[in-house]
Amino acid sequence: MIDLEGRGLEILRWFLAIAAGAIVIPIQSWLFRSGSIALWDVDPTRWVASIFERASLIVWSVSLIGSVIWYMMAVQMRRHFAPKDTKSAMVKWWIVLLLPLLVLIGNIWVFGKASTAAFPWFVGFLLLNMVLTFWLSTAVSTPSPLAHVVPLAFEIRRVLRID
Amino acid sequence: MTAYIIAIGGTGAKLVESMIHAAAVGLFSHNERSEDLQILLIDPDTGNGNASATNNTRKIYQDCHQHFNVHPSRPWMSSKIDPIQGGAWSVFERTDATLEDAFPYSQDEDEKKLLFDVLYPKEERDLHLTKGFKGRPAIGAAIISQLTQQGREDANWDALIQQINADSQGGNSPKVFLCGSIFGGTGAAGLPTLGRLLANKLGPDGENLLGKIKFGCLLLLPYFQFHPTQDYKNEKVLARSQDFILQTEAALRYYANQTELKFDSVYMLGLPRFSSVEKFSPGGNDQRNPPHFLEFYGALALRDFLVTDKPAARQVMLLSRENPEALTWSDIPEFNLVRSRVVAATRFAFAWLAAIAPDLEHARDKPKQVAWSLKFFRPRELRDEQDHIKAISDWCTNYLQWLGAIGRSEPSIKWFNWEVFLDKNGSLKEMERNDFSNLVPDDKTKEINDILSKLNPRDIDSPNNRGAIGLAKSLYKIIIDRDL
Repeated sequence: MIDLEGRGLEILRWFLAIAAGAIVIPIQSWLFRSGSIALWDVDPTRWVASIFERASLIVWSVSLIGSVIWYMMAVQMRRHFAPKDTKSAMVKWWIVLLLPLLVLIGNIWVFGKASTAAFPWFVGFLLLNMVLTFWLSTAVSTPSPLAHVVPLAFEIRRVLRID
Repeated sequence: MTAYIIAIGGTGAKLVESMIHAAAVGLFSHNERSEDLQILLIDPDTGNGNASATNNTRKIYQDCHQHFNVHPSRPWMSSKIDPIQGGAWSVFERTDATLEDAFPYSQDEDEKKLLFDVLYPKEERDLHLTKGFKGRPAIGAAIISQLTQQGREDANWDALIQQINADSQGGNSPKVFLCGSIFGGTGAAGLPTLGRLLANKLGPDGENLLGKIKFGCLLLLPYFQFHPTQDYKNEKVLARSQDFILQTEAALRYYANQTELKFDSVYMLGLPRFSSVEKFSPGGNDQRNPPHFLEFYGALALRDFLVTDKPAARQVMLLSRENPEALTWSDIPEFNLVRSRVVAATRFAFAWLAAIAPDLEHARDKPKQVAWSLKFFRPRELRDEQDHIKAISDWCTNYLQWLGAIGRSEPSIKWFNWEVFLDKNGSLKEMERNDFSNLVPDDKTKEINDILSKLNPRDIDSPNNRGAIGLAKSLYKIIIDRDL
């Protein structure tokens, strides 16, 4: 049983980070549709609907699942976490990261061939979406005793004045 | 306010050890005011293990206390403790004194010598007394009563009397408290003798202060027994626990009839069954009896003496436990207050040793991994604060060792889950942070990491709200306010 009592602010920050990951998808789609990013080898509207949005949604969903898994693990670990346990917790975070990362690579493998012109943007946006959804949400919501386990979390939390 | 504590003999030293821990816990703080203690240990056996342990406890307390300027509403470590004239007084000037040396035996006339021989057999006359009076109050009384004789006053006593006199000026009412055993050698002989001496010096024929000061004593009735090892079986002059009851009976008769003792309050504590001391030693540094819960009651007697007004007439109050087979919090006087302060100090010590000290050690190399430490220390400051951190860690270790011994002195004491900080032999073990919430039976708290994330220098009055001292204050505040 996960004890979520008193974790309201963490959950709120987690929700905002996940929402940020979701909000950028329509913005990125608009950049393709409006021609701000020129796609000369495909129909932008059809490519965005059938390829980009689908791949982005998959990456976002799996990143969200990965983030939830990490948060649950972190809430469990934080009870008795000692700084000397940092390395083993880091290994766990990287293992959880593998889930969205593998899905990201799979998406690039499956959908990336559809447009040569879109490929670098496609990879970049999916990576950004994963970073926003998984990294940002884990960085801002991980309970403070083990927040430093997430790479660069210390710095982002300082900027955002968390803790 | 200042209280002068004069502890006589090994039991007196052990009582003072308990009183120092009680002061640390905050038991001498009352109505947002703390009583300061001035301590003097009197023992011919100055190298006695019990006295050494007490002096060590006092130094550890002083090291820790000197850094704290605790808000009066926070009782922890609020009493100032100082030794009187070095803290220990031996009675003898020579290191190899015997009874014959103390009296002009060789110069006395034959009649006096014969009387002396009747009162003291040769083995008592020749006994080297620097390891105590060997459970013989008659020897101790003879030595200590010399102090009361005209023209033989000791300069130390005069200085003490002057100090009490100076302290009583300006509307102050200092308190003088004597403590020791009623059944041994030094305490049994010294307490009434010195009590009488002080009463004379402070009475109408002396400084005439008895009306202004509060004067009390604490007597411990027999509560432990020991069995001399084979090495000492043939010693003719040796403290023997089977004599304790007889000596106590005689001493109680003496106290009942003695009119020169002017104590306002007399506390007596005893046990129906004696605890066994495993390691016997006739004196010296090896004589270190483990702390006993009755000595904690002794510290509570001092609390009662300090926080209550000078009685108009002598009162008799009785205290006993509800169930002779068990000792629970409800058997403690003022148990709600005492329990909350003892529990808070114990939680503090446990949290410090189980989490804070090791985390700060980790933070020396990797400060970002101990985020809460950055609220109190910049990374470089942490290296400069090691002395403060060590002083607090030493106090926590010393306190938990003492408390653990108290807990082990009787199996029925269930104040804490002792096994979370004691191993099977009763020594402190490496504490685990996950045991923090289970330290007190039936009073589960939040986990230690939840408390660490609440630490905040802004919750503490400045200055001294940062560094190890600010950290310790912040931790104690969270614990005593029960923000758990």
